[in-house]
Amino acid sequence: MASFFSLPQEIVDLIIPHLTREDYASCVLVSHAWSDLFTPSLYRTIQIVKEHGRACFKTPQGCTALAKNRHHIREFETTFLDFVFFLITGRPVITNLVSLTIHLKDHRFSSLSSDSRGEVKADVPKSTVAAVITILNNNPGLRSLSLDRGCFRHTDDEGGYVNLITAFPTTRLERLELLFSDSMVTLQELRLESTVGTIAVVQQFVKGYRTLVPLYLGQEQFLALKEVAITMAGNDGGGNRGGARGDYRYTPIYLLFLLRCPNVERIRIGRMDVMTMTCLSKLLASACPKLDCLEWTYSTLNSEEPIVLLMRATTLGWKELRLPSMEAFGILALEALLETSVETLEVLRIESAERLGKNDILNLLSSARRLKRLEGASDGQVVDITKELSVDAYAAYQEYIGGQRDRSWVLGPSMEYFQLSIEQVPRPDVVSRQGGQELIVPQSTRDQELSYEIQRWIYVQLSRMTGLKELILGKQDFHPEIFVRYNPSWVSMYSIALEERLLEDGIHSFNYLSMEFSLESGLELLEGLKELRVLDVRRIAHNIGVKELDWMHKNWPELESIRGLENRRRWSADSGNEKEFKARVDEWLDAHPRGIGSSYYH
Amino acid sequence: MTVILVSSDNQDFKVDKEVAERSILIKNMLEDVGESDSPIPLPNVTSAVLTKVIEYCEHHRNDPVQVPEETDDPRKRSNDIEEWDMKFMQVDQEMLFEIILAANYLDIKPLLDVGCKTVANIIKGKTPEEIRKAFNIVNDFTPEEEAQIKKENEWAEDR
Repeated sequence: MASFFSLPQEIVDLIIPHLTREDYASCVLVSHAWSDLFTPSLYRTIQIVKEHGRACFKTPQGCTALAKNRHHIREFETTFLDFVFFLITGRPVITNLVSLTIHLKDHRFSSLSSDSRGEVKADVPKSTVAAVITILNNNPGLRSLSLDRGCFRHTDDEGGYVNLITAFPTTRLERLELLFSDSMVTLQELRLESTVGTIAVVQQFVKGYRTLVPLYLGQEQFLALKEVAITMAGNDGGGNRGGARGDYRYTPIYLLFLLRCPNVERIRIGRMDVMTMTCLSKLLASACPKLDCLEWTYSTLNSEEPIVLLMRATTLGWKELRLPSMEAFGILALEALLETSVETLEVLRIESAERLGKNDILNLLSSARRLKRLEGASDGQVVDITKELSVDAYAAYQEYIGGQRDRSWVLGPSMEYFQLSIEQVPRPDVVSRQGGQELIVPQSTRDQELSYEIQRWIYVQLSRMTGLKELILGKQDFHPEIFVRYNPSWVSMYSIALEERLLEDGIHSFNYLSMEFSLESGLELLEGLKELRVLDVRRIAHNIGVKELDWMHKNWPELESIRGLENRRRWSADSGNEKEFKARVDEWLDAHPRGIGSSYYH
Repeated sequence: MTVILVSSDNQDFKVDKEVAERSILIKNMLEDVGESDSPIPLPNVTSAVLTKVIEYCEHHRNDPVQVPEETDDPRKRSNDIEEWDMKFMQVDQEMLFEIILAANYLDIKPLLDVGCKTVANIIKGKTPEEIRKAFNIVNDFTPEEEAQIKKENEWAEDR
């Protein structure tokens, strides 16, 4: 009779990955046989990053069990120095790690001798760097490595960082992450004078890196390394700009190991000063010919030149490019991007680009035909200075009609995600702000005929994106910090009060002059968007009513939801009928609880 | 074109070639013998199990040949059993393990995957006692041993 124990090991090995650590912990308690079966999985991944975990492994039983099962460990992550030492003390020596993460922050080596004196053995290395180097030497099969600055403190060891980099295992390493801390680091601090050079060398490097190459060419190359991340611990990637924090220095010396990484495809970076960014770009351009993905999470740069250099740092052309909110990204950077990547670009994310001119982005829309995703700020990431990518529809249409330049968009069926603010559409039906005050707009926006012509032109551009899944007309969910700054009591939701307040500073948080998505405005032109799942109109003065919903139900079968449909339309000329309009929409939605498209009702 | 499969208890099953070829084992056999209408013996599969396996292959006859997709975290994949497959797998445990063994023998990777996921789902989120009950396993630990292991593995309980 077949039972669990009829399954050969090869099948059990297929079941195991579907379970979690908690499941393994239950399984080892089932019976002796199950204990043998699941113990290796339980100890495969050890993560000691919180006090709870630390305390458990500090008990006699926990400590013994960890030591006893050490040969099962393949992935190890810790934030505690004593567990770094666990990896190099005791027998058998741990040699099979595939993934290692050590984030010690500002842990001082000296504290070790006091808090774990009992475990210190004679063969314990003299410093944190030495300990980490020993681990690296013992585990040549590492595929993923993440270390923070706590692992290479200069105070422990002269030239700690350089020695550490030299010890990185070269054969299998696929992913490398280095986290630097918030504190300023100077070259003197790194004690690099004796090994690599001084500030003078770095300046020379900026002019031409080649003088330094011989130092690195002698070392083995990281042939398997595909992904490198060089970021700052702490504030990176938070989305909100720190403001007066200033620049932080990794110093370019940190980056020289890239000369040994000829196969890197993907790089993630954080905050960098101008000099480091300049060096990085030159390094990438000359040493990493396979690079085509960049994720840049945080910028404080205020000049465009280093960004232009970075845009040019790819040999193949960028395929995926994710850029943070930054004031310095302007037309020069965009042109550099198009120059290198117009034939390759598939994903572009720009959180905010205040310096991009009116309709500069059309250069991209009318040329990057491989684009799949155009992304902007995420929900909750928008701050008052965020300037999303936008198109001035009025100006673009005038250009088109005037025959000055054909800037029809080339984006076609490959597009899946499209986030763009469409602005300056004449909208005679919009008469007041959401707060009730008069909306002051140019006279040209009062022409009904022109309004429909322009909207139709935009619909025609959109209609070619027949594979589109998400259409986002700008994001409206602000970063909570904004509310705190203006008025903490508004935090809970988007508020009209905030909009009015921002307007005093000349910031428009709601887009009154955009697409209607009404049948009158030419919605039928979008009939081919059969894949559309999400339509986001939170930020625009749309006119989606019951007859549009009926149309969408029939023509966009996959449409799950419309974000912003509940908008109260207080801007509308017929706001007298607002309640009735809303009641009918609500009634429609109540009758279609599973989604808007017809495919949800088969 | 049809082929005849013979179960271990000597029953004949006439199925479309396309359906039978969901099994890589059978597909390779057919390629090896070329055009032939001699029946294919499957000595490791009973007629009850073969009936189920054929039902699965019939339902999935038009699926694209799967390229095994490697996601970073296999755990993320575990809950995505299709509705039909889920119903199909609602059988008693003996049959479940028989199907898994047959899928392994016949080399039908998607069926093997669904089977393994189903077993994993039985284990998931259960206490040791519930697992014992589910698989009819006798607890052979002494209370002391049990307490010892519990203490050893405290770290795994909570993040």
